Amino acid sequence: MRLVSARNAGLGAAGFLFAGTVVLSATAWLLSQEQSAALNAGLKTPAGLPAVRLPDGKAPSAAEIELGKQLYFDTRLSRDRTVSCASCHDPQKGWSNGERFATGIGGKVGDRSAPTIINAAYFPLQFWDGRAQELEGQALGPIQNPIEMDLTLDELVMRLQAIPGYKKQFDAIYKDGVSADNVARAIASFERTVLSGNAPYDRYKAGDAKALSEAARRGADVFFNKAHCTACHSGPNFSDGGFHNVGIGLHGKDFKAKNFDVGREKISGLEGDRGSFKTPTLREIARTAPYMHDGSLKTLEEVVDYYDRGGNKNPWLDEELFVLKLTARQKADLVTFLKEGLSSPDYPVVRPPSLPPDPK
Amino acid sequence: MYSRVICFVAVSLGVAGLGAPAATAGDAEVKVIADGLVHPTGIAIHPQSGALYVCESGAGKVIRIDPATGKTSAVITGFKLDIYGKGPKYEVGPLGLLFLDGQTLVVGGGDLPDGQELMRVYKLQKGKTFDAEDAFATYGPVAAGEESKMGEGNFYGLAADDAGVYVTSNGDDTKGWILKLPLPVKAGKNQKLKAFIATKEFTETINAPVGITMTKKGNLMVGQMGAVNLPKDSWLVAFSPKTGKGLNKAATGLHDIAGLGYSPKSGKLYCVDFAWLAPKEGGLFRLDYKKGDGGTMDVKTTKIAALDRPTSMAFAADGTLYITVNGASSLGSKEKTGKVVQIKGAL
Ligand code: HEC
Ligand code: HEC
Repeated sequence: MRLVSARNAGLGAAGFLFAGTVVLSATAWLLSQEQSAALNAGLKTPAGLPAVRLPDGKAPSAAEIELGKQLYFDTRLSRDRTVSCASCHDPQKGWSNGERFATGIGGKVGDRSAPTIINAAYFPLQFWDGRAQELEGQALGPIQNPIEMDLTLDELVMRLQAIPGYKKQFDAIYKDGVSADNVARAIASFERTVLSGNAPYDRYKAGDAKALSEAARRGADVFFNKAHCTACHSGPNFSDGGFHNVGIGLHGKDFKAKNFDVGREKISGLEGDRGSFKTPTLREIARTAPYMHDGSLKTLEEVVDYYDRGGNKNPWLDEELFVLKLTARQKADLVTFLKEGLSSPDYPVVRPPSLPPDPK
Repeated sequence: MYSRVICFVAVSLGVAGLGAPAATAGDAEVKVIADGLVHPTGIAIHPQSGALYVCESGAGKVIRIDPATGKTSAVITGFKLDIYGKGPKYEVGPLGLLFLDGQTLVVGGGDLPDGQELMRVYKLQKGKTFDAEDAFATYGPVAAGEESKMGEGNFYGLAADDAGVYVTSNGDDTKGWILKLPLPVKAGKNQKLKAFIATKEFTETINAPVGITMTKKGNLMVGQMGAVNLPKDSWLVAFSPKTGKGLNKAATGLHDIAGLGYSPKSGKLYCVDFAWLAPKEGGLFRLDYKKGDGGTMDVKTTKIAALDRPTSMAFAADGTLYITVNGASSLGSKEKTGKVVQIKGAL
């Protein structure tokens, strides 16, 4: 994976969190000069991607990223010490989990699929329904979720305080040492390094005509034109960061009884958001089956067939979906583009780090 | 769908309801010129008389307002109403207005479904009320086809130079078209309306051009509204009307820029933010911008006045600013909360 230059630890982390005053720019690909400069000093962005947004424009230190990595892989952040972030967002499985739904502590199963965290740094709104702001606002959610990791924040802080190797790191990096907010900061800083770019498509776009096979080139043409995918999967991360009803989970449902996952509506309160979910990135999509918020489509072939049909009809279906009338070859080419064109040779591989031992 | 422009919509998120003042401003004095309107969404000022022409969109008409007395009269009536949105739902008729000269009024349609929408041009006559059908010329539609998969509609923002009228449009979200109506206007029906600038090819992710105005240098300054169901995703983008090329772009941190205009006094750029998801954060803003590197801009926003869901703005020659304000009502509301307000002073 792309590493971070070893800037000195312990600096610049104060006032780090996106507070209530955050200027939440929903698809702010453009950074201010200072932000880019700060970022370039600390983090490397893969080709084809813009620099990630940083809280206060400050690049995290290598030490903070390292601490975040340890926390991300540490099962001690869950009640029964069996589940870590990586259990459901596993680098070996496209930073998702390869299953339809996610399984947390005690084998408890949720009702939504675990999205990849690759390039999640580019989303101002996190989760399928966008209920959390920025990665900092997201990270403490699963830790407290009773079916995921099930720890209160007090318990979390007490556990970490008691592990000398963690206490030392927190004290060195943050003025206020171990705290729940600092856990969120550290994990988010690590997640900002889990990026995928420099895919064959990026090299193709940059002018290397041979970077894509002929079939993938034809598939790119289908993706950007006839299949209308860029109405939503647009820009460097192949997502507009927005919410759309594409009909998933609505087949055969009673629209009046609302016996389905209403998605974004639960957060916004707007009927127009009913059945809407966040547009996911399509980078590394070949690695993250099954697909959709309910993991209901097993393969990319199934996904393409689904869109070709124009999606499940429902009163809130996005107007940008319609019957595509793709030929068998166009469908096959489109799948080839998604698999070949958007899979990077620099896929972010991160091995579980060694963790600070429990006190004797 | 929800990423498209529904700038006149009202969501009952805000508390500013009936009887509340139209605005509270800092230094700027905000005066209500006319109220009781249904979704006013476009405003133009008559070049000679200074009378205000306003699309009372939800009532399917264009009205004339005397800025001194607030007296209103109908100018063009009988526009159909198009219902859309998936909840809340809204009704719209005409959306955008522009004077080419004292007699020639260009009206952007919102009254017909996407793919059938028209630009209409009227030759006004003193004291005469027109029917929507009585246009001197019509342009469009941009029907579903190669250029626009679903066809274009909702012609909200209009700006002109000698070569054409530039029209912001919705429809195909892979494009985000600005259309061009060639000048001079010729009599006739369904003349060619050209799909001219695919704004999304320059912005990549931010769709929905809405507010539009001409810079002093003769470029187009455009407010990309972004998605109405996403916060703070509105951009300011400059295009060349000659080549159609994108020049500069910047995230503004505003929610939903609905109208733009330069003060004829100071030369400064102002915009109104409808702020769909957070109406209390909307209002009139000054946008101080300068060119950045590589096609970017640096933009600083300064709030001038809070307004409850403003939809469009126009400066009079003396620098007085007029703004259409929707208020809280939407389709099915009994109350008519639409207003036109005036801001005088150093803008
Ligand atoms: C039990 C499985 C599970 C565990 C453990 C878990 N997650 Fe998740 N994660 C999910 C699921 C399921 C979702 C989607 C939930 C939703 O959208 O409602 C999700 C969503 C996310 C997202 C949002 C991505 C996006 O694009 O919106 C991020 C980021 C994330 N998790 C990071 C973490 C971190 C950091 C941890 C550890 C602190 C963690 N997760 C632990 C299952 C898990
Ligand atoms: C109207 C917006 C829209 C359009 C157009 C669109 N998508 Fe999607 N896409 C979404 C949304 C939203 C989701 C998540 C839906 C859900 O889970 O309910 C999604 C999910 C996906 C997924 C699953 C990703 C994952 O991680 O689970 C794939 C693959 C995908 N889309 C590919 C495509 C392709 C290929 C096209 C063109 C044929 C396309 N999309 C067109 C909005 C869109």
